[in-house]
Amino acid sequence: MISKKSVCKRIFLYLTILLLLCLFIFPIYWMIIASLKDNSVLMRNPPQLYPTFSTFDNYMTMLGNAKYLGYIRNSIIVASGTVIVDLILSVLGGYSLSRFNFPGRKTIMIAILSAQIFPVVVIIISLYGFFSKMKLMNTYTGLVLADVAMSLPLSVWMLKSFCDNVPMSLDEAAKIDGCSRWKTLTYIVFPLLKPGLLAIGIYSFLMSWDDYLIALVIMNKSGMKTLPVGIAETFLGEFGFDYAGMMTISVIASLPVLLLFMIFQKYMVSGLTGGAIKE
Amino acid sequence: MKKTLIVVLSLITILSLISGCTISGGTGTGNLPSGSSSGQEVPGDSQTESKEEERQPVTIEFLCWGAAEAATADAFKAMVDGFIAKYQWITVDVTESNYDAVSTTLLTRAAAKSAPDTAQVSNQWVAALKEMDALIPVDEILSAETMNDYYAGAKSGTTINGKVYSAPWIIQPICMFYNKDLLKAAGFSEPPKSWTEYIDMCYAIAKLGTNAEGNTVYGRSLASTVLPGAGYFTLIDVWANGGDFSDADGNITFYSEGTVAAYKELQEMVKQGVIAPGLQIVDNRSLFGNGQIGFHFDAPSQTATFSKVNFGVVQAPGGQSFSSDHHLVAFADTDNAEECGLFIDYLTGPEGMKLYTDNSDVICARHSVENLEYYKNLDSNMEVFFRAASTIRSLPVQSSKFLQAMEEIAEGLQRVVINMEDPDTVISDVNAKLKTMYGQ
Amino acid sequence: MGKNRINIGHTLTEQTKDKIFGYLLLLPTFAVFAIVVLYPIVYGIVMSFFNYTFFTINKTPTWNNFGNYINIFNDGFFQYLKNTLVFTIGTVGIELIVGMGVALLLNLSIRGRNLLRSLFLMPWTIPSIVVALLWSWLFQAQFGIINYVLKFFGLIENANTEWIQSPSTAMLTVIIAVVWRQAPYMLVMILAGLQSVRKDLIDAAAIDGAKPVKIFFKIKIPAIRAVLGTTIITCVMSSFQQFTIIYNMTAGGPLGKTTTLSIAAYKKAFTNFDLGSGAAIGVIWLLILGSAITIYNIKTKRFDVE
Repeated sequence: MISKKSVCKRIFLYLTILLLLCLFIFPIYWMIIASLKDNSVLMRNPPQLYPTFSTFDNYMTMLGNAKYLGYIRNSIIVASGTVIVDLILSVLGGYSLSRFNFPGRKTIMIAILSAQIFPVVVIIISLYGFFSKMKLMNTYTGLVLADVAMSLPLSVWMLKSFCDNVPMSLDEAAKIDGCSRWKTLTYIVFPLLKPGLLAIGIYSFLMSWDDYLIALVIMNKSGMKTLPVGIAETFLGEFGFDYAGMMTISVIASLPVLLLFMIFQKYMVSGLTGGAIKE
Repeated sequence: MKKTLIVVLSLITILSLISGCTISGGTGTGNLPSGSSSGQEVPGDSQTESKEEERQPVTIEFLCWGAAEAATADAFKAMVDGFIAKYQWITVDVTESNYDAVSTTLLTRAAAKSAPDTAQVSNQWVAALKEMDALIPVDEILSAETMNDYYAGAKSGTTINGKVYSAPWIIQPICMFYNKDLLKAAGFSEPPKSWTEYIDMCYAIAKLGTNAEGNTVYGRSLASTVLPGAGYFTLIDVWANGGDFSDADGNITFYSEGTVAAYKELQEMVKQGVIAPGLQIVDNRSLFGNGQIGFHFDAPSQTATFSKVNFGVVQAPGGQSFSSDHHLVAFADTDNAEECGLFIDYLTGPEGMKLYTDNSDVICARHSVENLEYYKNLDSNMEVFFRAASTIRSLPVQSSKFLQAMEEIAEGLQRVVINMEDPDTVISDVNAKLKTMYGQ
Repeated sequence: MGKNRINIGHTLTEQTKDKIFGYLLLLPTFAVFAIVVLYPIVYGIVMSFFNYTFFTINKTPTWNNFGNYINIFNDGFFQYLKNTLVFTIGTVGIELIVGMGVALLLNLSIRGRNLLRSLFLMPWTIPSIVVALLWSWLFQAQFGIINYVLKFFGLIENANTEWIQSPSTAMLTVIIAVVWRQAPYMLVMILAGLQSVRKDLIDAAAIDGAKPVKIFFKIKIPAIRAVLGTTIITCVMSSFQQFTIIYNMTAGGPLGKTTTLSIAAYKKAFTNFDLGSGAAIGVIWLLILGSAITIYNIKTKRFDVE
């Protein structure tokens, strides 16, 4: 079975994959090594292709600057808040849609799914006026609510699929044993949803961390701005030519989600695909 | 392990949410009509009779970009601290913003009735704000003595219907920075004295190809993104060729031989690689600072940015230039008009300007400030700017349509230097649009 | 599928109690969603017919007589639509090719597939703003690596070619940046789909003498059609919505060449201060996408949302 030809084919296959991988990852590599260099080196032709580990100065400057720390803090607060609220709401909603048949159920589901078609930009327009009146502008609560609402459709859908995969017989057994509906949810079904919860949690963290447009409109006070907005303002504005700084803050902004993802990627993938694959 | 991780994460989040809510409770007041004063001051009423000791503490919000930019951050901090030290009952809440975002921010906040108390503005934005009835005329909150102290020319730009709507703070005459090393390498020992000489030098410098570090060299800079700045900077070229935006009566005269000639020249230079197209002013500053551009028009505040380059400054060769002024305004929604008046007077007057010039190179807009030591000991570059302040032409900022008009011109510029369309057709199009915009 | 929604309660009152419980559970979720998403959508649709600008935000809006819509159609709507379609077809098309290609490669039994999959998925986690900055840096005319490499291989003449600010190539740069970020998602979904294709079907076909290409088209594609469909729709909607990367790379320029519907709506609302027109763009968008998806659902008979 193991012939020379198949070994060659194998090697060829691995090489191709490796090559493609390098092409995909190259920009990330480029970003990291640029962040470790100085602007005088970066603004030079031909570009220096190899990494130099001499300067962590960029990071020191960036992390010592209260402005950037503020952006990071704001993003963490908003993203964490989004995760918690999203988890709670999607568990409640997903379980409800999965188990109970009440009038309007289908309409509600279609409404939730269809809302994704509508341009976020336009939602923001109405939200701007609405939040201003409700004094929710420039508040963490406001932005968390908005981010949660954007993540809800997919979260609820994912959780509903997970609930569907938990057999009804468990619920019935619990009922026979005298559990109230609420207890059934919290003690019986909930523990079985953990992998799904992890996936949804990470997904909503990612979505919130990534959000630019909503944060741009809702947070316009400089002390409240989140990281993406802060980065855009600084490095596409006056410091548009501080390439080293730009790459440094890019690495800093990517690290949390990258790390989170590396650790939990198995759950992420199963969460994404679990809902789509029909067994 | 996972369980503890989740528990820990939840705890952190809950704690952050709690702290977040309390913080946002405080900053949330940014939406309300400015100031957390006891409501003693009434907008428009400049005379309130409270003695110094009986003053209730007052907070005013000052929106600016100076505190956010590296070149001026120290100056702004010093000025605000100095003001607070002098007027103990007033606290100043500084809101920083990016220069590009400030005009939009002010307009939207004014529209939402949540404007700050006072703000640093470009004199170009005043007309639009005035039209929204968002401003208090500064002659209502400043003394007559102060008003007379301001340069007449600087005041006139924002005097509408006899009332002055903003207080001139600093004047930034736009002069020409030139790279001495590149000039020398191209065989010139002196900066150009006429416009044609200037153009020739641009071509010569571009012919150098690359500079010592191996980077491409350009003759001159040109901002060609669709922002108002890109539009009005071309007026220097237009004026040098005999054209103009409008005549003395305000009629649009943009389409003329001079304007078309200017744009043709720009197009040709882009074609020949003398100008790098598609750049914003920040990119141009970066390239000039990196020793890659021969000539670059900019404001005095940028002298600090170009420290790496051996540069000199001259007035626009054989032509005329404009100034980009910073003014201060007070908003009609404020509860603290008197405090705003004090703030404006301090910043624009000798005390504030002393602190400003200690940290940054700026030209004043008041006669009394000229007596500062700083202005008696200017270096050669700043001397050029100082002398230019009295010979500049003003931009047509009295119309609230000014910014839109400049954007229209910037779009025309893009059509000429990026899309390489025929300048004559493009300028004629732009002119028609301007006329419609101004109702002519 | 999934008929396990028969109520647990077996008596009438039990069933009613179940229904109430169901409603209550769903209430907070739906409330948040309704307030933050549904209400603004409805409000936006209504406002698109009024003269709703930043200057009238505090006054009662006046009926516009479709003024916003006329304004938009005259002001280059078809250009925006064309840009959006070019962008969407470009991104989703390339994502499909790349995703399918790499998924097929990874699907062949190789070791470390999961590790490789995670590595390939890295770009998807990078925040959009970083993607915009990163690719702006890569395409930078003076110091970007792309110009350097292309010049090195003699593929371009001008060592300082403008990619992002040039009308002819701006759209390409934006497409590449977005594809880089999105293709891994497509890849992972397709891979998961391929992995779930029943091996015995493939084996049977192979024994029957079918060549790999035929197996691919006749067995694999139909088997993953559901996943493929959902993923493509998701990517299409995501491309329509794409704002951050385009806005921060080209701001819709140069000369409006990369202004998609999303960018156009934002600019109308927040740069021209005309919220009503921005909302109008949204309504037209909704009509377009809504009909497209309805047609798709009808055609594939996938009306059912259980």
